[in-house]
Amino acid sequence: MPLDRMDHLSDDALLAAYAAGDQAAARTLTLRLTPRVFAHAMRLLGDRAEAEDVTQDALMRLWKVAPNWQAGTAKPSTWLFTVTANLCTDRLRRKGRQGVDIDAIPEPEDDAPRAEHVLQEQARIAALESALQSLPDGQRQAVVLRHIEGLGNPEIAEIMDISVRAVESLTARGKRALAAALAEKREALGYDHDG
Amino acid sequence: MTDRRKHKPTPDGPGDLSNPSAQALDVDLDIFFDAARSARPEPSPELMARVLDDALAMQPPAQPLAARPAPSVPTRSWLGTLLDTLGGWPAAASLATATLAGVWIGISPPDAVSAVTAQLGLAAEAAIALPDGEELITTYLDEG
Repeated sequence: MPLDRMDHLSDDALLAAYAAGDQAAARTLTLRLTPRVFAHAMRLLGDRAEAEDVTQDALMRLWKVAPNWQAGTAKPSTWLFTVTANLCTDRLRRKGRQGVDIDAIPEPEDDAPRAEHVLQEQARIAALESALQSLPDGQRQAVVLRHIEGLGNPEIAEIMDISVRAVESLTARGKRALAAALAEKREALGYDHDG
Repeated sequence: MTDRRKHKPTPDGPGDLSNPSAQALDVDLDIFFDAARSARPEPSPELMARVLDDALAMQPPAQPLAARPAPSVPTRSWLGTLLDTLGGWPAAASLATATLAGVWIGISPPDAVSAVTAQLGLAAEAAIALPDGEELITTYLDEG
């Protein structure tokens, strides 16, 4: 089946087509899921090379379980987020997480308004990533899934295998910790007068 | 899907709202989340290629047409056809029983049967005289 005809199919349907040997389904799933998995791994790990390894590993696990996948039991994307989070947690535990020094983030220097805006955005992203790395694993994962990936609390609860109330608690505490960490860079990051 | 841009005061549970300074910080976080969402880390083409290679390498082979079992054409043996005609195994069994009973009665008739045939004037030994073929033809020709 041509790729463009597969775009409208659900992940479930694509996975079934993949398991039946449809190569177009393999390509569509790769294009659809890899960026999401990589972005999530990148935000949890803060390291591109490691995030790439985790992405490849997580998707290999999906290909492996595809023939036995039971449609309707869980969304493949939810399953992948769970696997990705577990792989990231394992890596962080193995190496002993080292947060990025938030003071090492370069401050905007260019006077040109446009360039300043771009630099300011980059500085904010770097500051957020750095602050995220300083959070406990559960808080970081909950905040990323909720406020960056945009998932709902019930789905996050399923991914993290905890209750919805626990998700709410983790997110709230994570945001408070983030806010505290970022408050130190308030002036440099310019969010008192922008946004 | 929840609204990713506007943070409602309730989703993250109790604790945020009672503290005005936390609420102010929460609003400030939106700027960072917006920036992060607008600059999603993208996978490299090399990673995409590796993932696709894995997907194709681990994919179960598609079943070729020749390997698929041919659709079964219903074929009936002569015995099956005969049974269908007679009405299936129960009917065939009944018919076989009746046939055997008839043969047995012919070979060794019970006394009751002999009594009946005797009353009808048909001795068991009596033979019905049938005209032979030549006689029949002669009679037919004579009668015109």
